Amino acid sequence: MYNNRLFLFSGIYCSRSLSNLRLTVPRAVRVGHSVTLQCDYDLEEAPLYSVKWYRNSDEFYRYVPKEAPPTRVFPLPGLHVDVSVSNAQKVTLLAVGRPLSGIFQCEVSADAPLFHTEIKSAPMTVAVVPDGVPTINVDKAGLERGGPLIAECFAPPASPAPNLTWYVNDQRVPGSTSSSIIRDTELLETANSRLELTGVGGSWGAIRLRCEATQFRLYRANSLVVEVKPDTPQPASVLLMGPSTNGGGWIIPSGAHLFFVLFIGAIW
Amino acid sequence: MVLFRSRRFLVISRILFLVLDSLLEFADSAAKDVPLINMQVVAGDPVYLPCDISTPDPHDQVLLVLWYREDLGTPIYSVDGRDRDFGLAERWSDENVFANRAYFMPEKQPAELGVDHIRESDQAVYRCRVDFKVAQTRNSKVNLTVI
Repeated sequence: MYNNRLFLFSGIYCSRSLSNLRLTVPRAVRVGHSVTLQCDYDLEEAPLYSVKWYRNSDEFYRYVPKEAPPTRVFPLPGLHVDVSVSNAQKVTLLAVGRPLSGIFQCEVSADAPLFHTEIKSAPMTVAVVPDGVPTINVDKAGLERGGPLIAECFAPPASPAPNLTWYVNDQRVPGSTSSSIIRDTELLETANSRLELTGVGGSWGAIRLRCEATQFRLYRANSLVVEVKPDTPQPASVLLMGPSTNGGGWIIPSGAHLFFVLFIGAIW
Repeated sequence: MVLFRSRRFLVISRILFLVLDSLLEFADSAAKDVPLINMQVVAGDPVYLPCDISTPDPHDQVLLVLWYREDLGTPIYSVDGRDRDFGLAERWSDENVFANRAYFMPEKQPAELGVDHIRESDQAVYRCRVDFKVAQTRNSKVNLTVI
């Protein structure tokens, strides 16, 4: 009996076997939009037993050709499967809701006797895209007393909060993508990033500030460029000091000695 | 002889491929929250790996139970009751893993896979997958440590 099985085992293993599972799931999708999740595989004439889709650990769709009907859907918050276009390789979700965000997994099994199985998983986030562009507030009141130039960037509410990146004279400020986040009652998040430029007082050239907000590949927007000018401009060189983790300063090609610190808040 | 060698090479390369593949698989599966039970067993003793096959709906039925060793793409033990009563289901045990040391006990609460004479090489994470006719598939894991 077992010898027989072993023979079958090696025979199927070498010639007819499930392999090369490819899972295609977008990293993010807009809330309310439709999305098709693709799971491709090579069976090499091995019979298919089942294709199972999970969100986190919950099965939400399966395709078992021997069952009638072959497809079955299990409810999840924010899930609406379009069964008419879903099959053994893909599942189409209509009007995705925010609770659906999570790890999506495709598990394919060949039929008896071996039930060879492959699994792949990928994260997908159902996102609320910001409505509008980020805005900058500049406070240079402290400059006259030798204090810092303070700038703050706010992105419109979104889920999850977009990443914010500062640009000073069109140069990206390293390590400035983190930001503090405030959650509102609809669980939307407002990203906020604060930039402090110290040692600006006295002699410096015009500084152009810009803030960029990005959310996956769904959203990328820039604030208006804010130009901060001294009352009596004088030529000099500018040294930008990045955040302490950066380990050193970098020169920007415009003027005055300018020490630069980025403050990253952590208000949750 | 040449034929034998090439077949062996094929098998070895297939095993390497499986190991690599399963490493990725394991990294993948770490993110989800399938229930996990930790069990310790002394080498040489028997162990009973739990696997809940109870049906939420009395009209539903268990079709198939598959046991996987996390690092193998093929189940190491299966109970196939798709075209017969589950009590008469066809059982299969991988010769290279538990072979005839394993026996499934569906009547236990919860059901268990008994494995006699545990070896050090049996230390692994095992996954039990229960396929029902109607209900959602149920997965659970046992992290088996051999002392």
